[in-house]
Amino acid sequence: MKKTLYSRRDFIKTTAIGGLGLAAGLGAVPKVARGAEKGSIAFLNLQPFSGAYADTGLDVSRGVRLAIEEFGGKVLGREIKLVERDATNPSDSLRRAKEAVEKEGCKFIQVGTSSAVALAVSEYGSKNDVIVGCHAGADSITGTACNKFTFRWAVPTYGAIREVVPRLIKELKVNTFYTITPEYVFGEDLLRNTKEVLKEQGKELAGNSYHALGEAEYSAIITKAMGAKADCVLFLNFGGDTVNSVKQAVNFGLKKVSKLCIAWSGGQTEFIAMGTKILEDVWVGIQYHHAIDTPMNKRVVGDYYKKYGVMMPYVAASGYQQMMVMLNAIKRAGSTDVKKVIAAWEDYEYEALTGKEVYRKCDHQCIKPYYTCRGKTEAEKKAPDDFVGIIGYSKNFLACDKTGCKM
Amino acid sequence: MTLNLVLVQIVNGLVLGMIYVLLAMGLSIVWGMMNIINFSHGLFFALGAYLAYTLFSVTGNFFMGMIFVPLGTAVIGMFLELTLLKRLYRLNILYQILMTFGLALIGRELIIILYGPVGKSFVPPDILSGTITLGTFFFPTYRIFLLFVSICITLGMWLFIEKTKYGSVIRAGTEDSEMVSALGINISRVFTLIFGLSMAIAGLSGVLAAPIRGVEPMMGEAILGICFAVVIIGGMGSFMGAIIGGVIVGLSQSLVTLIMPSASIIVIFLVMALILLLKPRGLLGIRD
Repeated sequence: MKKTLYSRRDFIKTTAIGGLGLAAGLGAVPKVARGAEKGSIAFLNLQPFSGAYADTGLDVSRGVRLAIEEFGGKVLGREIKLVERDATNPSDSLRRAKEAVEKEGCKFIQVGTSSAVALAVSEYGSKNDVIVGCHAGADSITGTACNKFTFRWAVPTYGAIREVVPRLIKELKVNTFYTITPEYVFGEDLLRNTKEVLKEQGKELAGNSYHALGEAEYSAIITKAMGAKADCVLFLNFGGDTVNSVKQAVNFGLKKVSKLCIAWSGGQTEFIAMGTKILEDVWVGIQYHHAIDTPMNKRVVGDYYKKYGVMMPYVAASGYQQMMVMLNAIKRAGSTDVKKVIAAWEDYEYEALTGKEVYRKCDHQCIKPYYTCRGKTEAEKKAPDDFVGIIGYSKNFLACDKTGCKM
Repeated sequence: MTLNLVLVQIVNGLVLGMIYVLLAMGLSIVWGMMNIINFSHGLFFALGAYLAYTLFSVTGNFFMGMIFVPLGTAVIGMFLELTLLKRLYRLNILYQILMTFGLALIGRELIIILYGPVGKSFVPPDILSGTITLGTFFFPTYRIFLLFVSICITLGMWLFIEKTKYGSVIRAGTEDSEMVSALGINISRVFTLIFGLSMAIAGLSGVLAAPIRGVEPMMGEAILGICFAVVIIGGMGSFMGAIIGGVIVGLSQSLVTLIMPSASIIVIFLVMALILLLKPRGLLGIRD
């Protein structure tokens, strides 16, 4: 056998090294500020700027920046410094949070849509007197894993499922469900809540298929779901996973067999990636929609559109709203002292994008509505970005004594 | 689990496998002949998808993308080979890794700058957007089309390599490129054309895969790791190995998903490990 420049072993070693390099390269994201200059107040925005959820990082960042801009770029007369870091997994996120807190002096963190990341950073915040604003959905963030330093704007999976599933049952007379679930904490929470609601309502779960995070090929799962012949296939995933799985489901003709519903959608960003053809008549659960009829929402959606040229998606709204609440809490506290800011944040009712909102003191969960929408057909659309229409909404939260939260 | 379901999954596995085959073929030929481990191969897959999306947005014709996009990616590939890679052939392998890896990162960032980080909607053309009935299941017409086209391309490539004069140069070059050069063949020009051909197929794979896998900036990196596994399973530098490897990986992934969907990625590397234990050079490896 002739010896060439590289052997098979070299190839395997090289591809492994290169793979690690690629993975490391994914973490290279823009750094907005290297640190808090003297007199400024540093805020860390820890979001996924790479990987399967990279689009959500950009959107949250846009929302946060708009909030800072509308706030005048200063709080308590001091300049607001935004430090942004990539957060795709718990260990990297913890390392970057620690660096930002120790080297940049950040005492206020906005953390991304990954529940695993949010839980890890929340725990870190509680041990280091750092306020953490969460955008993730796992129930435990404001439940058993809650702490005094963490606040969450998004309705948890408990409330999302209690809006969407009963509405599907009521509006579409659905009796049997099939669920498609990503195998991590967020997906498990949505699935657990779905099972509870179906049991309460006397309906049947015909089956469930798990998939890995960032999966690209869903044909087997969809074929199984098709075989189950359930009235409704409920997608319990998020972001790129939702886009790929729903697109493939529609291409496989699953709409001919079952109604399709995305329990927790990323909203406008996902709608654009799917397109009208895929989305028409698909039911969607969302935290926020740009068409919500409140004065504040109309104004901010206009500002966002003027600044970025697109409709404000849910994660941008989440970033905007939570940053605004954080800045206002600091202003009301008249100090950056963490304990004073927490006190100013708790139980304070304010005018928000979705109407009146409040972060309750018992678990730091924001009380806001969750919406169910239906995908419009091409003929029903009034504008290119008019993908869904709101069917209804409700506020569903566990009572304080039932959350398992002990501050 | 019904027999019908298993059969549908076998067809699914073949579709998936053929996408891997198309990508792994180019990867394997470039490695086999040029000794380049091309980390930018996935970029050309993504580039193919984005160019197809652009062309479809402008013309509304999907099939034009199947013709013009591979030509475009081939030209870009040949340009990069002539201007950058050519300088690295005699240098340490690390320089090639850095160069192709760097190209992959630059290309991805350019895609994000031009198209944004959010994926684009790309559905199969109307003529191929329906489903056919397989027993009690529906199966997308587009996937059958993809299977047919990729088999035709693979067959065409096999005929080209096995039955043409240029193909014999490639085969000889895979064995010993210095000897081919010594026989008076302009090996430098052959390298450029081989790289262009490889990038053309990668681009075409991107066009074909876009309607089912979506169009997003990370798509090249996501599939590149799997294609490296396919090349290792099939054997370094073996054209037929890439075909067998791709089909094995596609079928394994597809059938494992029936039992344990969350293991669909790890099964690829388990299969790779198993084959390397049994056949350390891969199934049809020609390299030591």
